[in-house]
Amino acid sequence: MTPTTSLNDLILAIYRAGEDSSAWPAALTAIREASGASGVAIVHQEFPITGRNVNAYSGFSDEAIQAYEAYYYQLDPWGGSLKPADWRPGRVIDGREVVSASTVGRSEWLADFGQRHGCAKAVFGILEPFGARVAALTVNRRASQSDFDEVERGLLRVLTPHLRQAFRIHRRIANAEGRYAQSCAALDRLPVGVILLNEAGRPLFLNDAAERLVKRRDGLTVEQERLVGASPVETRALGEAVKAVLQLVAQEGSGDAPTTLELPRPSGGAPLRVVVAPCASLEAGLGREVNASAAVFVSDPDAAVPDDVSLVAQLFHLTPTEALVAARLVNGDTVQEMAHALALSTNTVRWHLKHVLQKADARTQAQFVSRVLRSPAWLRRRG
Amino acid sequence: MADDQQLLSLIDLVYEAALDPERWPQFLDGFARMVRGTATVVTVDDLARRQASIALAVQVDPAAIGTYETEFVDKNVWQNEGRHLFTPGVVVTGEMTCSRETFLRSEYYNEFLRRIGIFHGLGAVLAPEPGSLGFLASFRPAAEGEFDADTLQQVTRLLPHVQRALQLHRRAGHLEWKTAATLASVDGLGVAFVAVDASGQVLVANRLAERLLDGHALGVTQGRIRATAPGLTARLRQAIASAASRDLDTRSAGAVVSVPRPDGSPLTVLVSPLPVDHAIDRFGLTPAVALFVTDPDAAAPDAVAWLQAAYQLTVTESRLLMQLVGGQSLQHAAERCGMSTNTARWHMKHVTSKMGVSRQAQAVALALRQLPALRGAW
Repeated sequence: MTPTTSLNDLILAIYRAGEDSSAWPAALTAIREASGASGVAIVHQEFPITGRNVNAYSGFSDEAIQAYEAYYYQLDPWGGSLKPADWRPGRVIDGREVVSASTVGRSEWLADFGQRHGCAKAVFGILEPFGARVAALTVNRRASQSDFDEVERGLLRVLTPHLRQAFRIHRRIANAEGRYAQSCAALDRLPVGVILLNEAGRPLFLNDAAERLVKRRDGLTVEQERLVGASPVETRALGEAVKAVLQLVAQEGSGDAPTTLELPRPSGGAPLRVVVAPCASLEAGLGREVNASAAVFVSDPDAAVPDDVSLVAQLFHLTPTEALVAARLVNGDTVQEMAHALALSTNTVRWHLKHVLQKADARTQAQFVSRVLRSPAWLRRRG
Repeated sequence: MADDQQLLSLIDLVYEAALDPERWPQFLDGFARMVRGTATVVTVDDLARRQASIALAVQVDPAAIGTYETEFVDKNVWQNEGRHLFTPGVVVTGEMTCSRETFLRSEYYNEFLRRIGIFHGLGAVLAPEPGSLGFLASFRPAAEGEFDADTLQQVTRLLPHVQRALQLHRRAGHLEWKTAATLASVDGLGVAFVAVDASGQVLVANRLAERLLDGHALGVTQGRIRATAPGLTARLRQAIASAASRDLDTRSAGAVVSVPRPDGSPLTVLVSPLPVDHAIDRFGLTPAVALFVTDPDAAAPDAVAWLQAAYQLTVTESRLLMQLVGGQSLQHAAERCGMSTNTARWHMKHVTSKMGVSRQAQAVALALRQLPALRGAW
């Protein structure tokens, strides 16, 4: 058995890779050196089989891996002979338990691939249970090297559960990061500026619409991680609204109606409407206080809503012209304004409007507006 | 070798705890066994606020934790005397921080530790997060003797794993919190949002979406989204697969699937690609697809107060406008507010003039665009 200090270093290297996937090659190199292998890889396969991926490797050339993924995985004598029952996570299997050395020796695999790339002998460490996909550590030696002995298999038996754990950790973090990114992408689709604030009132995230608003520096900006209005009076009012909402969240979660305020714009345009709302709190644990957060919603006075006329048409089964008329209605145009903009007579516009309302099953224009603005047509085309 | 085995299983356990916080006590118990300690704790000291708290504890009377936190944090003689030794990664014993005489004379020992049967202490210095210092500490009564060099060495080997596990725990927790906050704000705008992978597997959903995925018209089976109406699941999944393959017209918002309900208006599902890829494993990526679900029957939230404040409306005017915002006809709105249609019309004249518009449709449009939170359901 290798001395414990270096074993601990190996295990640390494995978990470092669990936290940061760019550290996998270093971890695999450490395993390769410790086990006297010519090459080490983590191999991944999805079912039904469409191919086999080598996620990380050490001791193989890039060409060898490409050739394996492109073709030779099909000839791999061990991969093809491993049974689902063999896939018990943490288990270490010597290639000889699966395929005899003489069979490997006679195989096309060895002649065409194994000889050249140093994988004539193999030991596997199973990382994932048999399911929609499997993952294993493969440790290879050249034909000229001795077979793996019990000490080396023992080392792999110690390491495999940690590799599996590191794998799970990585997947957990990657999924959590993915969920956060997906949620942020959804916010980018909203035609409203959304600014998420942390428990200290500092902006955590601005969606696309908020970024645009803030860049215009017309009534609302972010300076030194603080929301700032056009004048100190507005900044203070905004700060107080945020503080009040955060206190509410920290105390009990949600509750009262959100606070609304108006922010005048130096450009002279209509003021920005701001709603500060309680958002979420989470007990982070391990001595951390409760994390409160608040959302600041800012209407974007210049955003055309709906911005996707074809979606309005799709939702309410409108013709292209009807959809144009409908979009203008939602944007507040009068019949005269529509007629002018679309180069139609007011009677034609009225005739189209009648069909639009009929198709949407709305009795009044106000009802139609409500229906559109509460439908997905309210969303922006792309974040 | 037996010791090594114990260390290895503790390493496994500490990462288990990083994935599942419920396992931390189990790790502490294992740690206590390894170092042959009794009371074992993880403390977190907020250096800026000069606060200390016991985040986790095993084999300690909860009352003693309270006493420590309220009365003895400042009097902890080991911490006060050993401050210069505390860099993350270091393992110290009580004896290394101060002389036996100082310890025996201290109020901390006489008034606190002695009463709970603690004489020896071992502390591993952690850096749970920037600006804070923590300890993984274990204690023993006098009869058990000092923590020896071998034990210290074992803890030193374990410590980097504990640090990494705490970091992972913190990172996952922070991500979860940020996701929860983001989803809650999407909820706040009345948008039901689900992200799925190319096969329809649900990756994340906000509360409004979870409510609509209750198996009534839409549901989730084995993690995958489905519709209850015959044949519709296939259509929905096809729309998802097509959005995932990005072969949609890039200028369009996505495909619309209408989902009938036995007892109400159909739900509208907008299926559209998300610019973010979802990691299926450490290295593989699959595109994520967004589903925005609209329930036309969803009740408008009670936001009369905002309308009142935003446009200086009376309560009656706000109630009436709220009904229209929620999609009611004027006649219906009047009925619900207990007035005649003519009276409602008269009130709406005041509403439109206060809002600076000329027609009811414009008032509804303005309210929904300026106060998008009206779509939501707080």
